[in-house]
Amino acid sequence: MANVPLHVDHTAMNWTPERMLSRLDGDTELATQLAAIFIDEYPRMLERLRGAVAAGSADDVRRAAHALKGSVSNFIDGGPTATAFELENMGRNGQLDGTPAVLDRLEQEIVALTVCLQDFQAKGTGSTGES
Amino acid sequence: MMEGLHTTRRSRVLVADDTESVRSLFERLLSTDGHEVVSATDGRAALDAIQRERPDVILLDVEMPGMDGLEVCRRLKADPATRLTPVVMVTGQTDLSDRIRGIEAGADEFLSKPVHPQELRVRVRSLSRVKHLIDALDSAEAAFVTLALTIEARDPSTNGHCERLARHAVRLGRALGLGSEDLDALHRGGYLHDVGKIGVPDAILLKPGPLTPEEFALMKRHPEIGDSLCAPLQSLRRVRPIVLCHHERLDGSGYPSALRGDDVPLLAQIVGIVDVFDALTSERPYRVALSDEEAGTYLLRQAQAGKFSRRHVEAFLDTIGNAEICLAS
Repeated sequence: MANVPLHVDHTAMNWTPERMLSRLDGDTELATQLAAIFIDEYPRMLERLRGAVAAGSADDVRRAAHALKGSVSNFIDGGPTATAFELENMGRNGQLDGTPAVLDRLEQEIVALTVCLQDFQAKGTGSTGES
Repeated sequence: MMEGLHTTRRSRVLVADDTESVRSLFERLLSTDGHEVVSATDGRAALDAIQRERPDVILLDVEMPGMDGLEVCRRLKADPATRLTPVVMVTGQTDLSDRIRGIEAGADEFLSKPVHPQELRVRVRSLSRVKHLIDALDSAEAAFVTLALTIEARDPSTNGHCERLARHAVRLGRALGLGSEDLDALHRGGYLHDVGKIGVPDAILLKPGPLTPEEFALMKRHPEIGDSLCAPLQSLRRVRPIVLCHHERLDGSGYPSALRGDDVPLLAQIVGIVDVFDALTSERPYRVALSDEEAGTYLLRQAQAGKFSRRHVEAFLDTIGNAEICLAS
């Protein structure tokens, strides 16, 4: 993941700690815990999705994208959640043309999100990612 | 027990999801609400955990590796031991087809991902209450069955009567093409049909000989006593006609209301037939047991006399493999 270029503007994803906390009942401790789990689990989930895209297996793409969407949607509405949903639908419809490009975008969005989440973890209450 | 209906009990909740962050979110939210949370990472593990832990509420992700949540739900709803346990399917917000398939699989509720903490808590709290009410009703029914078996135990000559009656009645109901709700009522009715005998003194119930008219008048009160015992339990509403009418006969010669023809509820007619058959084929202090063939022949004569439906009697004899022998004799 380290060599994935960061072309995504954090603010474009519309992520803020406040929005994330509103999804989690304002529970900062829970948000921190979920962020740690996500940072740990997303590389495996992305790896599974990459494998499915490379193998051209529509059903595996749908399943892997669905799982990733469920995980990332704890933190954000649009951005990576919407992109994972886009990949899930491509898998559901068996239309895999263009999935590598969408996957690249998803990876960049997830990396951007993890930067936000790490920042949040470090500061306790987090930042907007605008600094 | 009634107090238990109104108080909140700590519930055990099973969360089945292959994504760790989702499981952690649910675990955290539910455990802070006082629930005990059990987790599973796939469908098979969920089924194992459900069998082992007997949760009060089950949260199933639709998409899981191996066996998906829909299949788990179908299996739970097909198993009498788990079919009343509330199942919540967790789906994507836009997955309408998953919801439709979830309804078909028997799911009780749905939650959309991302799950709002408050919605999760409220749903689980409300389903826990439902489950606790079901458990309380189950306990009440279990107490009734225990009562019925206790009554059976008062008379050594009726040992196993309720169990045999339940089995034969369900078999006949199935042969007549009845649906699962009726078969369920027949099974419970088999156990509970004589529950009113709790009001009949031992001196009459266990008398080793014919009853006097006064004694018989007392004995004939047991269907009404049984019906009033069952009346407070809503879950027994389909069983009550069996308890009240299993001694009614199509020609109006039965009791307690001398109903005639179609006024005798079908399920009571069924239990009436198998009750007579079981009584005749069981030994009594004052007579030996009849053979299945003799009892079958007696039932056919009773049908001919207009007391039972001939079609039902023949169907019953068919289920015990005696139709041809009895019809020949």
